[in-house]
Amino acid sequence: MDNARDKNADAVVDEASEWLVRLNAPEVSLDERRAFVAWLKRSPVHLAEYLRLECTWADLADVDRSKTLNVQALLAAEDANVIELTPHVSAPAPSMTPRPKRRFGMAIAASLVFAVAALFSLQALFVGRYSTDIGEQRTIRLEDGSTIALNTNTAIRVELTDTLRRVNLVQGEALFNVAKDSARPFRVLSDRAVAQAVGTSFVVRRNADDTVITVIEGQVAVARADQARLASNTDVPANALRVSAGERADVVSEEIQTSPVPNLAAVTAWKTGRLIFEGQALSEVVAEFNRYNRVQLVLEDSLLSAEQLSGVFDASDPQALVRFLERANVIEPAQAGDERIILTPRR
Amino acid sequence: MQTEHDRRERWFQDLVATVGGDLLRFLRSRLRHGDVAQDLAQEVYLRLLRMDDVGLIRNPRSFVIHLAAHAAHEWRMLARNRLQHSEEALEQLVAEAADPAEALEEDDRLHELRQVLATLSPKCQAVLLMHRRDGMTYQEIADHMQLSVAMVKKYMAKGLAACQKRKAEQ
Repeated sequence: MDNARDKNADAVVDEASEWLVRLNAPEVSLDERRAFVAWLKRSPVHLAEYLRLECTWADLADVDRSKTLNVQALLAAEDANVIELTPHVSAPAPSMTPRPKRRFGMAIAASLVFAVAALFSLQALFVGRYSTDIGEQRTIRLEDGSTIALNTNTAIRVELTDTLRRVNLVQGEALFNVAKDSARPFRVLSDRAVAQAVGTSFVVRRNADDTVITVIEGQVAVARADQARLASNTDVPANALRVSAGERADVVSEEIQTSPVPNLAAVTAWKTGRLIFEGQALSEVVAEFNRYNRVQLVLEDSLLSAEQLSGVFDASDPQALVRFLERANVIEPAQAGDERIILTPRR
Repeated sequence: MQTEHDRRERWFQDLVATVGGDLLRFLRSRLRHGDVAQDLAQEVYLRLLRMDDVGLIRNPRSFVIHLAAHAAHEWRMLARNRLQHSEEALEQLVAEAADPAEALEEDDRLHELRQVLATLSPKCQAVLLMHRRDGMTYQEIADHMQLSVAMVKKYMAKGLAACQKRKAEQ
């Protein structure tokens, strides 16, 4: 069954490939173009495979930018062999478990509705996108048993393959509890950093100008995104730094700084809706509250910004912080607006 | 009087104008993540079925790519509206193509493709490289290899298909 499906899938790739090569010729007849459009409209599977091929086709232009592959040598090597049209290396050994991929062949002959439905299971990879709004949190469980807790205003993209688990942190902050699977490293990417683990627990927070990785449990390999030229999909970047439980790594554009984290609980307090501060500047505290709430606190006074604060707060209640500051005689009684609360120092 | 054909024609010109070069790049990065199957291709397919064939047949390849880029563009606009409250997020979205994490993924992908390419027969490799990397035409390749253009196309299609299948296997 699987075999038959794979055969159908392969046939679609063959057809799509022939079409692309034909359409790429300098002159394409009207009949040919007509036939191609008819082929495209026959099934969404055709269209999907064709679009995919266009991307591979585009990538092929960049696959050997440094021109290390020698065409003459390839042709000479070929002359020594019998001319063959089929690739000369045998297919990779079959894996132990059947992989849930390309289960769409049957759809080709079926109705449109069926074919459209089949699209959803067409890919070789599992790809998922998850996000949270301001003030929202959610935890997702991946097929491998790992969990990802998304903090406020966060977006991730997850890709699971046979050899790799990859999460792109598009924005925000997330706590990763990685299920052990030494065959498939778990890799988190942000604009600045790459963090890779096999089985552990860590938080990655993507800020505008840095990415902070805090390790809760186990060990995580951290590298700068621009430095991590990854030799293969599975290896830990060779230049990666090892960060252990209780440490954090701040990845900025030039360097990675590691430092101990005195209170790990504060790093994951957001999971229970709390914010824990221990002597942070008020500007930092305000910025933190603003991540979780549509009502924004505004601090315009620099002396006030430097004021230090300790305490445990409900992340969704900026008014509580305002009341606290009022009672401590740090600020003037504040006017709560619909969108913003301006904090002014006590005269 | 404006014919249906003129209307379609203008609509397509507008479409091309709306989705600029960076959007094609955006589309490329979307497609490469494999989520084309899940949502984009389906959306594009439904749009394709609604099209009349005249513009489509004139240049089907660019038409389909533009259609896909347009769909991707609309998603981006949707995402923008959702994220309106956060300037920072907006900037990230706009700057998405330049994201180093994306560049990193591109490196991974090209590396993988290079490995796949190396498993093809030398002839298929040579034909693909001459055309895609070195920009030689089918005719030039045919002259160089002393083959017919039809054979060159055959090697090309075979090689491309094999790349795609093996990529899927990995």
